[in-house]
Amino acid sequence: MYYFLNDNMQYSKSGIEQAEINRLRLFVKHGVPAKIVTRVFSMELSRILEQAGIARENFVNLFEFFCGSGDVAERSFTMGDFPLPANTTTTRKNNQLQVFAQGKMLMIIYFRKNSEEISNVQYFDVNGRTVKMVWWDVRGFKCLEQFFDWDGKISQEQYFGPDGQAHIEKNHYLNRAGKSCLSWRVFNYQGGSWVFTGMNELTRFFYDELNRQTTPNVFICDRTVECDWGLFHMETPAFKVLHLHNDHVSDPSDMLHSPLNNNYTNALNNWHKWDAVISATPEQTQDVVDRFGAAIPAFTIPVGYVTDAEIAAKHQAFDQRQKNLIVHVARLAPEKQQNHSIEAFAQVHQQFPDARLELWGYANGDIEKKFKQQVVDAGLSDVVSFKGYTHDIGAVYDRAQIGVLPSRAEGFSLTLLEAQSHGVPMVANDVKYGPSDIIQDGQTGILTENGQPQQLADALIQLLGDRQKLQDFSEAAYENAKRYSEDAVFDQWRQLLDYFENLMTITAAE
Amino acid sequence: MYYFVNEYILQKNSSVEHTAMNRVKLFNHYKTPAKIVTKIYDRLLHRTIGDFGVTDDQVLNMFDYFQKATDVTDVQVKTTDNLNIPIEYEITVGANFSSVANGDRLVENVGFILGTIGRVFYQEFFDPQGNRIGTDLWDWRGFKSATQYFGQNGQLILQRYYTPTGQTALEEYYAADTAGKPLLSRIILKDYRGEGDRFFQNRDDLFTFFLNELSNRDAETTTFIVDRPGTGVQSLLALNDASHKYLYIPINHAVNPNDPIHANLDGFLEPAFEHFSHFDGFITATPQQAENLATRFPKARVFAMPAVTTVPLAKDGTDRVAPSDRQPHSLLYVGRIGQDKQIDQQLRMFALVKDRVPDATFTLYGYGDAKYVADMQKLADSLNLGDSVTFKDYVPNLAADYDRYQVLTNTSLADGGPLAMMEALMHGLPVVSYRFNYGPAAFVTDGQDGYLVDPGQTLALAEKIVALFTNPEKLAAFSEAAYTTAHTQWTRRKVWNRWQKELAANVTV
Repeated sequence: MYYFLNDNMQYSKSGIEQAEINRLRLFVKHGVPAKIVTRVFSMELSRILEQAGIARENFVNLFEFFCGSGDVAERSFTMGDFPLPANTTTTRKNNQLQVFAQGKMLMIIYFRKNSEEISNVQYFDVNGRTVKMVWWDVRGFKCLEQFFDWDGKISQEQYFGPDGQAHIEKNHYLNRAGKSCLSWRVFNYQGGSWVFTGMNELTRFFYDELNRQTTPNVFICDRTVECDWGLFHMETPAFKVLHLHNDHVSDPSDMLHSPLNNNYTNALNNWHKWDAVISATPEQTQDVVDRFGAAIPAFTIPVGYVTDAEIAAKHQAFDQRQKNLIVHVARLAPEKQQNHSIEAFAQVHQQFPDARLELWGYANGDIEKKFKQQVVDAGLSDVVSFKGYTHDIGAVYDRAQIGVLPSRAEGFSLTLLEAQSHGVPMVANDVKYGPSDIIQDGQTGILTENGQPQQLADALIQLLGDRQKLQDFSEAAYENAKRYSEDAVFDQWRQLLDYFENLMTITAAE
Repeated sequence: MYYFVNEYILQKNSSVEHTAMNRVKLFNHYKTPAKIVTKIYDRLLHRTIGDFGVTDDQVLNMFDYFQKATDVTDVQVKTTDNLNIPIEYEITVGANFSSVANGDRLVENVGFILGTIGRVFYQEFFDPQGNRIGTDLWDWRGFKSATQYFGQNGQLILQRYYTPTGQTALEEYYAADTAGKPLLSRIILKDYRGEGDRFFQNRDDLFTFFLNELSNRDAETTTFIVDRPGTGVQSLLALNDASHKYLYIPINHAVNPNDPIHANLDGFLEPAFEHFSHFDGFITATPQQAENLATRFPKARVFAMPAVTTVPLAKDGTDRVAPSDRQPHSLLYVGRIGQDKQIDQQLRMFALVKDRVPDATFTLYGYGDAKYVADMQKLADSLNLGDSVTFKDYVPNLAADYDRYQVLTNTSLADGGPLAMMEALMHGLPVVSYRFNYGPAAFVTDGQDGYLVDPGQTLALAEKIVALFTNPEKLAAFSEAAYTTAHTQWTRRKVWNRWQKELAANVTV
């Protein structure tokens, strides 16, 4: 079994989640058993998976694993399933139902937005103090109880399975400095009870338990900060693969000596604990080998691919695209440098008054405010729009005539490949890693230098000013994307799969 | 069904519990369904009752009822070995508990039931800071019965009770009282009978609901007999249904025992008599108390009922132990070691006996406040009674012990009818006692199977005892008389007939 280790799966996905979903699809298609593994609790995970098209059998979450709630049919949970005590009166306020007995509030029942489904219930004692909050999973079973202590602090949270029993407990107690420390307990699990000092220890236990279910297994770690400690400290043998999703150093001008990228420091300082490393581009693979040596195999495997269906899809006619629409698809984040796009766009707009810039992607932190302020200050409010996260990025690219990606760094730049597969020429910074690998400079897009918004502006103006050239670039982009077909990418995976299959045979023989 | 309403059955019981246990055995002997109902949460209840010859189906505990644990047939002996403690944890076995550590870090303690070899009583878990994160409470019968949870300040915030299959049955939430100690502030009965949660303010409310349910769910008319007024009176007053309700009066009802007609009523009894028509009857241990209460409440129904039962004596006398076969000059007291029992007067009185009969011994069975017991031991020493006086503490079943002593004494201030006095007579011990309300006059015939002297007359009391100790023929005659009275008046058949008659008198069809 191949396990893809991640922290969380949400409606909004970063490139890493997208890469995992793509990979999963490819593995399933070729009959290689695989699961995405996450460790953050969610009461609507089943809907997130459904929306992402991830089958239950290809997914496992830490909480669902211990609570036995992985595969549960969705059922309704409304007031009909929650009989009220006799002799009570109720008051409905918006999505709340307050329940009283003899003038005292017993509980408040909260409903989901625009629905009669019960989301949570708050319980009170005779003094009106909140003693407990109970939550229901969207599939209609109680999944979480929170206890409040005398001071109104949450001291325990218990996670329940559909069997009505708690299996995981999160404890919020204070250390000697009076700081809250989270510890965990797994209980009513295989008849035993385990206490863990924190999420890392619990994750370690989870990975070991997973690893015991099938053998042998390969764990591909896609999120090192959250997952690598647990992986490194596993007590059962497993193959461990580091999947780099970004530049592994913080200063790309000195690949050999630069301090490491914070996200990978621990993973790379423990280089000997890995059985293989995967980079998305040959350039990064070379950099990794140069710095860390070749004691373990380094594989180059693109994190994205163009599906057979996409390749077969009819090309969008150039005149069907919105004239002079520029798109920037990336999380709103400092390293994605949307501020450079906006700055360059100011010049483009002066030349082409009908030009528009659309920024697609969810925001990390409060950066969105800054970018919006920048747009207002530049007087571009009517022509630059923040569009948020979309699940159908193809539709966005099919409307666009050109895209920009002035990132400071990239791991592979899935968005470039998606853009190319939809015939969108890209103006992208030539940073590590991806753009120079994906974009054929001067044929399917233009590579620019990081930190030079003027180059962005020049390239955009040049291409928008030459309609024929732009259209040629578009056609070439469609063609370019075929280099990343499903089969081409799986061939790369095949090398890794063969490698581990061979290792497993050797291990089994020993 | 007959339910005898009690607070608990403990490892050391008062005559209230002993009376109820005698009664349930009597009713069951005559194939009449009856159970002792208890209120407190007690994981050792089902061990304790075994010490008293009471079976699981003769008790019905409130928590067992709501936890669906009334009928646990698969009783298991659970030890640390059965807890599936992770193999990576190191277990250090101690006398009263085992510690479980993951390397250097204490993860849990497993506590044992006293007097067993490692039978699990609790499991307490710790976070890495050493904070207690929860304590699982195990039942004697081998299942996890409840868990206690604590707030960030370490104080109890929640006690959650389970069914033997692990489903949550009941939750008790605690708030701080004025002294900063946990005080029950909410009880939630989880999805009771599939009808949703039920909310209660405290255990009294829950108990009322419990009794109500017992009555509701009884195919026949229920009869409640409250043995402990503080436990049952308020709940029965809240119960307005067809069930029959009786109150057994275990004490002297008057605050001033010598003024039974006019003195204020005991605080627990007062609300019952205030609403005496709510009760089908009031039961006393002695006819004298019944008469006094009837004078006081002419419209209330009051009747007396012996708290013990006997079987007729064997014709060949093999069931009797002659005083000459007992420890010579042995004086006995059985009862609580308490100030109201005036143990100090007993000791001083015994000093007088010992002056005259140097080999006399005095043995006291019973539990009491530790300080008072220590004071009494000190007093015995200061009276130079030395080895002649023995404090024996409480013994669950005294039947065999009675036969080793010659005379029973009692110098109480007041009582509802001392059980030990009846038991002593059953075992052929003459009783030399103060004449107090109630009991001595009802049980003892002065000059025949014992002597009664006025309260405070220790010298007279001592002389009567000396008279018996120094006159073997008299002692034998008194002993024979005691046997005869007890085994004639209080036979099982006679007592049962009286119960039937009294209980039938109120059954209106």
